[in-house]
Amino acid sequence: MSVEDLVVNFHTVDGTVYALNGVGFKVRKGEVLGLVGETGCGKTATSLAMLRLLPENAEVLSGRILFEGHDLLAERLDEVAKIRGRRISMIFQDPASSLNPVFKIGAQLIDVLKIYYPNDDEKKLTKIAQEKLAMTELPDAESIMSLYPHELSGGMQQRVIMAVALSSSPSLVIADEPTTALDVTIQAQVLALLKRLKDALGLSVLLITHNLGLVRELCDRVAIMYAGSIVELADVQRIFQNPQHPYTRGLLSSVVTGRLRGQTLHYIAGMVPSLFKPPSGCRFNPRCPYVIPACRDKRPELVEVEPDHYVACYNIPTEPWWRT
Amino acid sequence: MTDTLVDIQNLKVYFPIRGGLIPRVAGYVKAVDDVTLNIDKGEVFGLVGESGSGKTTLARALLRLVEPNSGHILFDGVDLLKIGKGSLKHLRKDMQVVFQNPFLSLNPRMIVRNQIAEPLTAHTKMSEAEITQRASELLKLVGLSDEHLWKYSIELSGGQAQRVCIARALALSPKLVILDEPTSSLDVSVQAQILNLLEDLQKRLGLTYLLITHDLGVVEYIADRVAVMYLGKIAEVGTFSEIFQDPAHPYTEALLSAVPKVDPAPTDKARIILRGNIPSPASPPTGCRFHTRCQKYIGDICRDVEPNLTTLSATRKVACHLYKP
Repeated sequence: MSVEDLVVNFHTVDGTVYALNGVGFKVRKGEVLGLVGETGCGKTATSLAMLRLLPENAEVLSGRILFEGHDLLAERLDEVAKIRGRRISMIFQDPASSLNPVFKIGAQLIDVLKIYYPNDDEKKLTKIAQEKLAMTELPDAESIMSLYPHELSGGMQQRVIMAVALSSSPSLVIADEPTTALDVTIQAQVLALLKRLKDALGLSVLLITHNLGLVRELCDRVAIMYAGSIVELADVQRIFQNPQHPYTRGLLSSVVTGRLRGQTLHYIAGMVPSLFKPPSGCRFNPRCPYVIPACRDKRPELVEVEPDHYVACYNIPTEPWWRT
Repeated sequence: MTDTLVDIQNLKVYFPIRGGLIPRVAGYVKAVDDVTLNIDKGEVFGLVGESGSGKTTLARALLRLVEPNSGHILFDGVDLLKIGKGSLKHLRKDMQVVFQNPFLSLNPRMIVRNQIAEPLTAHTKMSEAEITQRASELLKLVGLSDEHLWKYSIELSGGQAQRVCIARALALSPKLVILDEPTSSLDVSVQAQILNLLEDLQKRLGLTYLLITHDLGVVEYIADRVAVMYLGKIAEVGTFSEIFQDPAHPYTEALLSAVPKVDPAPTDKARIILRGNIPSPASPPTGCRFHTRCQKYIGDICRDVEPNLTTLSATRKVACHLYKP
């Protein structure tokens, strides 16, 4: 999957929201790419665009989304529909709202499977459904099939969602905050499972999250987003040990941990800009301590500063970084 | 000897489960089951646990927003469960709450000035002009300015709205501020600002905080003492360094291990992944409530006998059969 120069605006009654401002990245085969940023930075808009699921008031001004030889933005919708759900699956944040409360788990799974296995009868499909549930390490798949979603815990519901997402043997899974709604001990279980499944099935995963701890544990590479653009892209080790973009540095410094006890916490001055009237040039420039005139004129492109480490900044801080 | 502000003794809060055609009590959810702990004046007391562990119910009982079934809550020496409505109103002045989502705690139809004025009009005889003056001072205290007095909450960012909630909570100079997930709905860099503010206010005004959260990073950063709850019971209580550097209860250990870390220490051990789900508080396991998931299960005693809180040091108690009294 490769996303190139994606520009998306939303037209609302209050004006135009300049949501995505030239987003570009690649998800490599078999890797977990983290898409990280704060609320409203365009993480979810990007993922929706990738599946052609943007609402009607969205306007795609430019960009290409290449996946297995198709440009998903140029294809007809019925062609996209063949890829969506089959080759690319999604896992959303709140498992309870992804399941229909009035149907049993088994019925919902079989409904989906009917699309992928049109020639099999109900009996065969039941068997496949149980296999898929067992794959997500749900105990006693048979009895879970006859339960309603509310009879399952959050962790079990998310496993069912994963079974649905994997039932078509996709090559890419987009996971939008998959564990945010879960308790930490359950989150740890689900994460370990996601890792095992990814390795076993050779999946590529695009993990959308604001949880930097999660990124460090699960991702191979990370794309940091700010106000509609990717500002830095590198492997996990580099992002956490040698962040280059002033925003990435600010973000990492703001994470609260016990090690910082007694110190005043660092934070990024100012506020996330309104995307109705985004700042010109680099959208981070009003908050950036390293701002130079060029930052206000033209948006910086991602530049490779060292092998496989891309930064969009005209004035990369020269002093070394460490987490205070 | 430090002064105790809140002394909770053997507190039980049970919620009846009603069922059947002719509604009758079919059982109880034991949300808080025999909890004893104390909060000292001027300290930050962290209460951690997963959903359903009873931490919010405990705070609500402390405010008497739910009626406990038995036990005692001594607040500054007065037993909250024995006093009438009139004196309760007086005491409530001294305890204020800041909730998770500031936009749900603020009234979208009221300007900021009037929201901060509410506790002042309810509890004092200040004139309108005095109230405006006080509201302005409070906003300054939380890092906002007079221009925010006349705004509606939708005009504020999440961080600003939470600051207004904090200002309102401090309006009557309370003795205890209950912070229920105060930073959980905020973005990382805003979280840091709010925590800086909370810590600064606590030091400057000598406030006592009861901090309820599932964010262990926040607790480790700011709390002086910590209690870990599991299914309505205290699993372990101790100072922050005891809990975080040397957890005694297997649940505390697993909980700390489960959190994905931004800067892993080189000494980080292999992650402990607990089996199974959190049992329902309506039918908690027998014996030690954690035994169904415990990685250090030592035998029938865990299943059959409920462990009492055992004293490990002057500041630390743990409820686990691994430790003999």
